[in-house]
Amino acid sequence: MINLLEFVIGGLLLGGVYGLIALPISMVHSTTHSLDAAVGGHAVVAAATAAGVGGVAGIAAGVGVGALSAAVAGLIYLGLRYTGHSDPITFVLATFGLAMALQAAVLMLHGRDPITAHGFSGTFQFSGILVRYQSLLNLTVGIIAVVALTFVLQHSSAGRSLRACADNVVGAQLAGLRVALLQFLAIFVGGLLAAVAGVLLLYSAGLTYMSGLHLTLAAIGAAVLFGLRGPVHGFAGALLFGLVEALVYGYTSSGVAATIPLLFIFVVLALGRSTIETGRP
Amino acid sequence: MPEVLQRLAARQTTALLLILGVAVYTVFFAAVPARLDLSISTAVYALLALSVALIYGQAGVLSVAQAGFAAVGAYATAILTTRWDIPPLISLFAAILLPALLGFLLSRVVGSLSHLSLAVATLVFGEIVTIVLREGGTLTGGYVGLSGIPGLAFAPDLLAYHLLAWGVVIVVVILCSNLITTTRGRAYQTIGHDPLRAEADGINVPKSTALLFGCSAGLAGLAGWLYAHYMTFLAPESLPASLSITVVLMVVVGGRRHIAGAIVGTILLVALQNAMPTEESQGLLYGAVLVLVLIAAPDGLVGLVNWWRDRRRRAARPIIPEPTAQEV
Repeated sequence: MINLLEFVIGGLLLGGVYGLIALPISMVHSTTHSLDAAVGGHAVVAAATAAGVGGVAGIAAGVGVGALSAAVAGLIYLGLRYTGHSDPITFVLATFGLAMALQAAVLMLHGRDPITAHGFSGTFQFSGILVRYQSLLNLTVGIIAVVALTFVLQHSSAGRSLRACADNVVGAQLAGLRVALLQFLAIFVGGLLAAVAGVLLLYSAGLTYMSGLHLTLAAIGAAVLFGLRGPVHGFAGALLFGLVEALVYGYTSSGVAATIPLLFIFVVLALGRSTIETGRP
Repeated sequence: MPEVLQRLAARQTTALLLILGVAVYTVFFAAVPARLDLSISTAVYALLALSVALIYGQAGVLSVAQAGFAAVGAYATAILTTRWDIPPLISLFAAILLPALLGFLLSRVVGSLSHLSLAVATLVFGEIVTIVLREGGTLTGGYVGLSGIPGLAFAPDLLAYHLLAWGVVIVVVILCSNLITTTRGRAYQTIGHDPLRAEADGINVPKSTALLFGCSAGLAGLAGWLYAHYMTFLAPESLPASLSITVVLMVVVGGRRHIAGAIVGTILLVALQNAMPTEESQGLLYGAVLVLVLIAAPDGLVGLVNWWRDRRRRAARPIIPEPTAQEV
């Protein structure tokens, strides 16, 4: 029973970080009907920068570099939109390209060594389970992010504008909203959240230069579980995804454990519950 | 030239240019092992790119699982030839049919999803295949992989394998170029353009898409077969899921709607990769090239050339003046 509780708590804590990366997927899809496939790359490049610089300055530098890479993704979207090629698949392919470039940049700057750092080293007991303060911080940041994002989306004019873009792009344009800017903002904020997640992962589980694709897949999986309906759904999906991953890794061999979360995502997509829509009849 | 031959030449321009290119390359580099090795790798990538061009370029279905299908084909032939001493030419059928069946079934399961969901589903499928091969125990050799895969008796050296690999590519290009001009090919293009219109035209869209997906997967399996018997060694990371993304990139850069685009994109990116000294610079270059091409030339380089050629043709057309009132 202790084992089960340990895995559940561990899974929820892991899910908190996935939530930070799942939020951008939800946000970007809501406003552009596409996906930023470089979201994992933003996290990895932020983590690598933070590890390289070190300390509090490293955290700021990491988030800054992650924000920069997110801005590049946003500019790519605007470039595609400006040239009349804002098809969702095209943006996904372009962000795949960006993800490859980010992976190469991290390899160049950091090498193949694991990207890790020491965060809060203390632990505390919760029902007989040792919980790291760092893991709790990760979950707390995730919860704060989803609450803040939900508040902004529901109660601010920027949030209302973003929701208007998500519901009806043409209507939003006719209402005088600067849709392109709002979409850029959604991609940028999403990438920024992913960068924060990367820095948190640096101080907890650690990463490698190749972690980007896995993080992106995990984020997509987490985001689609309860449908791409908003930050709360995305975060809840991330917690569930983290839970599934922790339980699978706890009770099965590592080989099977790596497959189950992916199978989980595949089944959810195949059942058509993901609500990722691009207008295909 | 008789009209039939003229039409054939027009339809098979890509194949003819490819034959010429391979002939010239062979003449210059027949005695350079490194160049022949590069050529064989390029041919394998070209087959993978053609498999993407077939399903994405014609039916508009983006599959990011082609490396997974190639790995299935490669492992199928590796297991049959090393465990049961089955001749490679017999295992070729398994290398093609097993991925084709998987592709057909995958399409039936996820074919009704939106483009984006389907692309994500195929990406996840490719990752699952890699993990399954890695955890396949004694059957797949696990992390260590399979060694001792026999070579092909009829392609004993690099030059022969180079000719075989490109011969296969040329045959596939001919078949694909033929397919495009047939009723079936136009049906696939209609599916890619407007599935609802295709249904209205009486095309069974899910079944047709699944068949083409299966063919595309089988083609990827063929690439895997060639790869396995050339390298004589396979590991789970030989044909990783990330290769699927690279191959899609090659098709997009070349031009997904054109069979020639797959070949052009592959040759260009392999040449650039070879020119770049390190993995880091390759990744940066690939990423930058993909983004630039998507923004500046979303129909790819072949599409850009066609557009420029059409523009010149229109500019060269004589302007017929409007008739005046008196002339009317």
